Amino acid sequence: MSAPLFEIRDLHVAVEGKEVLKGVNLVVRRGEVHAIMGRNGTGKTTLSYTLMGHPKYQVLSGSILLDGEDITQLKPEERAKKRLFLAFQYPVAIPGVSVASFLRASMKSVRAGEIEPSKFRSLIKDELKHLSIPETFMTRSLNEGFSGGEKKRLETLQLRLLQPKMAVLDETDSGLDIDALRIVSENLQSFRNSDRGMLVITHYQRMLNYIKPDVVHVFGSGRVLESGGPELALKLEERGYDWVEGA
Amino acid sequence: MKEHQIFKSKDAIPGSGSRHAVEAVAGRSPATGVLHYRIPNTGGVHEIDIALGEGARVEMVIEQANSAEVESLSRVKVKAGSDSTLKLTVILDGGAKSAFEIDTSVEGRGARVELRGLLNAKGSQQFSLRADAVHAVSDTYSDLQVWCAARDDSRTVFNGRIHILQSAPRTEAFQKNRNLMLSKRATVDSFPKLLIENDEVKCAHGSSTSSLEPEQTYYLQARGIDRETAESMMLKGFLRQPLEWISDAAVRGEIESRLGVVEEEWS
Repeated sequence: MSAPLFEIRDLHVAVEGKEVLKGVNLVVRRGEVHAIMGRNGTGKTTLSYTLMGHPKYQVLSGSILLDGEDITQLKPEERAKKRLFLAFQYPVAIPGVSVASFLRASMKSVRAGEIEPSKFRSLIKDELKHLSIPETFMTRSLNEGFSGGEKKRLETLQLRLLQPKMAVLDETDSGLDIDALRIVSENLQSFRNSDRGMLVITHYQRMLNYIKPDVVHVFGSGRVLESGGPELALKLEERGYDWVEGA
Repeated sequence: MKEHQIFKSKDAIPGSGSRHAVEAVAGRSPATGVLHYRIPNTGGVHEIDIALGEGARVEMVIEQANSAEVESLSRVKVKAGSDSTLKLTVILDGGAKSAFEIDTSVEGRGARVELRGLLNAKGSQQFSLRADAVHAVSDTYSDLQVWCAARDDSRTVFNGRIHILQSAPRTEAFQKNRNLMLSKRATVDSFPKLLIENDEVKCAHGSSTSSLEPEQTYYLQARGIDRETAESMMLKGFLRQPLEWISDAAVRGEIESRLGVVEEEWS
């Protein structure tokens, strides 16, 4: 069995003084996709923000390891440079900052170094086609006036451009119509390889039809309640969460 | 009520002033493209009269980028005739004290007056913009949007007033002021006002004041961009917004370059 790519060890996290995560444990190995499913308000988004170092979320105890290195105390940008990526559930709009200049700044930082403009453009143009995103997006202000689907496509574009080794997808399937779900999911699936890991947070089985998880976790009361294979997602779809929470 | 003008009418403003007139009629615009006018760097009182005849269409950018020690007051008077259109961008970016006043008389049916303003204050600069629009006849439109950024010990003042007379039904008039405070020592004052004498109108006004948004900073950081660079990008984005609608790319580029807010080109 390969060494863990990403580990969460007994993670306890408080938000505004209230403990929300109460001992999360998780191990993702290279090439694995893990899904986290759970009701609203169980701490899934708190987990994703904590993993990416949001200052509002206070780690009380426990640790987060990427490639064996403890990243629990790192700033968000340092985590990104170590190739951890969070696809946001609600990406914020930043008026006046164009998508093109944002992507350039981000790639320059994460992929260490200046990218020659023509190479930058051809790389992006290629990815835009895959995601059916019109080129006019590049001159628009970041996420401003974007539909839910457009935002999620842009998150997916960033993931593909930044080439993380570990990606956390926080409800990337929410707000997507059927076609957009297929396009986004196929692009995420094709990004998968034997070196990368993915943690897919979702409410529904539908995204997991495209991105088949190796492991499914049921999240409740701020921790992992149950883990199993892909069949667990189907069971949840069929029977809901009561049987897990009641166990 | 507190006096919020940078200059009061009785103040003596040092320097020698100027007078400039723009007169436009339909099909005979005073110049092609965007009129780009710079307030002379002499201090004193500068006056600009803009008269739009029936059907005239004018886009104008007025820039005040005075030297550090200069104090100036600029007064713009706009008369908008029937079916005329004015797109006016005002930028205050220099001088020790700069006051800008725009009095707009929307006096021809079907007239449209749109204004974007940027007050970019730093150090100990004091900038004010007062904009009054009076709608005197029916079926007119005005939209005033002003962005103020205050850094260090600077101060910005926005005074906006829309006055819709009884004689101006079916008027649409809007004003919005966005303020960005980048220092605890900076001062921002905002006074958006509406005076409506006719019920058959559509109006809105609003003002917001904040520092840089932490969630925006976090988003950029999560993409590998360090905090300092992220904040610089956000500030540039704020300053760029009122410039985005300038239709002449060369004029816009020149201003963006001078303000240090040039964007990544995409073509």
